[in-house]
Amino acid sequence: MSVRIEAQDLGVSYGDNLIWEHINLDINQPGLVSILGPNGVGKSTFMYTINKILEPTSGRVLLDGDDVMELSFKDIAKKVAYVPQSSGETFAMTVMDTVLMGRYPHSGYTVTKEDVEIATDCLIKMHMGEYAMRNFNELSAGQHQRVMIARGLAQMPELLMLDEPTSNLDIYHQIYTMRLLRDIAHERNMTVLIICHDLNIASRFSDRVIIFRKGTVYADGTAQEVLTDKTIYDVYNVKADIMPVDGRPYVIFHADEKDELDPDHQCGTVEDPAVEEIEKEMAE
Amino acid sequence: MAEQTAFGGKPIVIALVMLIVVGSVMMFVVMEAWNTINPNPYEVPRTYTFEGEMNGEPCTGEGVMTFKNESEVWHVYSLDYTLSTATVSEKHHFGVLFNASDIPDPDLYEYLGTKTVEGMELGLWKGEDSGIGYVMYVGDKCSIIQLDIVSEGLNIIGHRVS
Amino acid sequence: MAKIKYKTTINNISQKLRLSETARKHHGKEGATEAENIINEYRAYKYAKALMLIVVLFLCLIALGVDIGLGPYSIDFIKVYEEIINRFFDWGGTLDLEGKIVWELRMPRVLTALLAGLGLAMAGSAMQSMMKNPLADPYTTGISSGAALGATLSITLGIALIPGNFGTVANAFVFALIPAAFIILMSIYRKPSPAMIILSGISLMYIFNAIQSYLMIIADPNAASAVYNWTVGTLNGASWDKVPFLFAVALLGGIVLMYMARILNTMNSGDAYSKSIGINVNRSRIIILVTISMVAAGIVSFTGIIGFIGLVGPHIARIFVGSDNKILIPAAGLMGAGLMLLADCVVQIVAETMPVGIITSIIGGPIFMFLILRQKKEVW
Repeated sequence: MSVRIEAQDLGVSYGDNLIWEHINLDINQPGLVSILGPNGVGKSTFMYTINKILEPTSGRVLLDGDDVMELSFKDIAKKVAYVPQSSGETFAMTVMDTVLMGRYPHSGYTVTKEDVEIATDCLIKMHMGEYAMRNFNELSAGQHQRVMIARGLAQMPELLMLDEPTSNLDIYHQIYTMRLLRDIAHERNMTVLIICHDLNIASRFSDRVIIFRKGTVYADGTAQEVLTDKTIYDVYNVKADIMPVDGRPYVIFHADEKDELDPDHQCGTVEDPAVEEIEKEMAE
Repeated sequence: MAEQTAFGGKPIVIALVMLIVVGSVMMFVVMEAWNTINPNPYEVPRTYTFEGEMNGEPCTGEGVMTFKNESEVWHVYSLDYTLSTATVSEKHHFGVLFNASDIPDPDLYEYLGTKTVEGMELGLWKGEDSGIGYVMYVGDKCSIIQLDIVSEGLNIIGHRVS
Repeated sequence: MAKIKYKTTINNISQKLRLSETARKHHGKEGATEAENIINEYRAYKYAKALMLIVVLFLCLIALGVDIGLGPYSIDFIKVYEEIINRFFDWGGTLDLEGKIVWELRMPRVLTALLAGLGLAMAGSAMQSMMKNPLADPYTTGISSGAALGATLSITLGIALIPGNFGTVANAFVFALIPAAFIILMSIYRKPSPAMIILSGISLMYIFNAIQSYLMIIADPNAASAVYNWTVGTLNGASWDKVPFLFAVALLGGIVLMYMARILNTMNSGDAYSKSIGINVNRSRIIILVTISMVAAGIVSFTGIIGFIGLVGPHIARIFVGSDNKILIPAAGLMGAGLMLLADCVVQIVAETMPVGIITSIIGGPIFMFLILRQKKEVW
């Protein structure tokens, strides 16, 4: 079951800083959707508006036709699961207890037998079954990630959102995670929305790519449609060639020694560092 | 590993904790010194001398009543005294409990009335301990000015001397 | 060479184990699938934690049993238990002197120690979880200086909100809540950073301490001495009419905190995640802060400011039962109770006139030092 997410004329400001506005998006198909864009452009901010962590200053977000602002946090939590950016923070709970956190919207104060069964199931699907009783802080980064995803899946959501799920993983695990997420989206017929930095990884596995740039959605469509050398230059100010591999565009970056590179270059909104700071603070 | 603590090192942490321990002990010492200089009338030890007859023989004795710090709301005192005649010497103990109103607990002791002794109006209370009967003459701040020992063969009066 | 051999042997063994696991999975002979294994393991784990909790309870009861037998007035241990058991069978019966001492004076003292330790450690445990800081204790919001000022006003000047026996208690309680109210009001408008909370506590502490010091100077010596006794933390004022209040405070506080345990667990993962699974983070934070403040203020107004129990109790409990708040909070409470009883035992044995708060510092300080020195970052 997949949920339909609509952003209608959506706009967000942090105080006086306008992040973006007049964003219109309609995500109504299951699959792996990647959100790309330079730092500070407000990708995490967009995710925050979907599950009401952040309230929009203009426009609205609809989940299956219901305005998010009229739904309670709990109602949203039953449909939308959020996996935050890896913070490196660990806690001294078992993996199983960590995954059981995700059952809160369904079972409240008590942990039921069904909760444990569902959590176990999610752990096994993430190939973390044998670590179920280990302490969370004994795991590697890649294992953390899988536990976090299992925790999100334990909510039995229709939309799974992950903020930069691959950012601190090595290449092997990046590919592993992306493939896993894509398979989850397809097997469970749900939408998996991720924020990604690596264009090629996103290209290889995504069903749909949305690129944000300077306060708007620059492009939205399949990887092939979106990732062109013009797009790369417009959004990231870097020259690149596109090589199709297995039907997917592969971005090959030029790093011409002749090109002048500005250390203070900002591709995102004007208040780049401020946006990042604020997004981080929201996550704490 | 200890170097990685947020405090910047074992020695500093140890020093600080030792400071707390020493400081606590010092506080206690200061308080005790303070109490010696400004003694709390409820808590000072009281000495008694006794005079009378035991089994027909003349008898004297002395004892000390100490405050037992079971509570500051109710006051508990423990009197240990010896009575000696020409032939025998006996040790006795008398415990007494005062309630929050500074009178002997009415559940344990019988009120006999008041009597004026040397200008002070004292309450009379009767009690017993280990088979020996006592009559207490009680003044301010749980002070037992006079203690009559009344029992088989004992007819002794004790006075508080300090 | 030997190292490599060791590694390959381990690999071989684990491979064999894994193979037999897959064999089991395929055969399904024993009927135990991987999922069922995990579920059973989890259940066993939960039982083990509950067992640990019972162990801590047991330790606490032992401390209780020892403490009640101790006291300045010498009474035989056996006699003490006799009195207690007799009383249970003959509630309305008359007591002799020793019975009175045991029931009217020692029982309240011991119960006060137990309930104070329970409340302070549970509050401390919740505070540490919420602040994500192992150095937090229930006084972090500054209630200790407020309570001290309230008590000083009552003891030195006789200014109290209600007259009589409970004057000091009421004063201490109300004044203790002033710093807490400060911070809670702040939290409504903007999430207070740990720095804000600490600075707020410290600034109010200085103001209150200044006023208190002035009052001490102009007071008469006995009153000043009484204030010192109170401030440091003492069980001497314990009596049966106070015990029900302590009981109510510890019980109600405990219930609320246990109810919020799962929320506390989740708040460790961050505000954003907590909101995303349906927790109203701001409201929860306020509820928890209010509960902690009420519990700590409620206890401190009877006993004075007993230190280290709220700080060390949770740490020791964590060693036994781990960091899951559902078990940690009650375990911390029991550990705190045990520590208080232990401290009281030490007082009775070593120096009967010593206020218990001094012993909790003397024991608690080194325990705390030991705990944090051995702490790896992940323990938190």
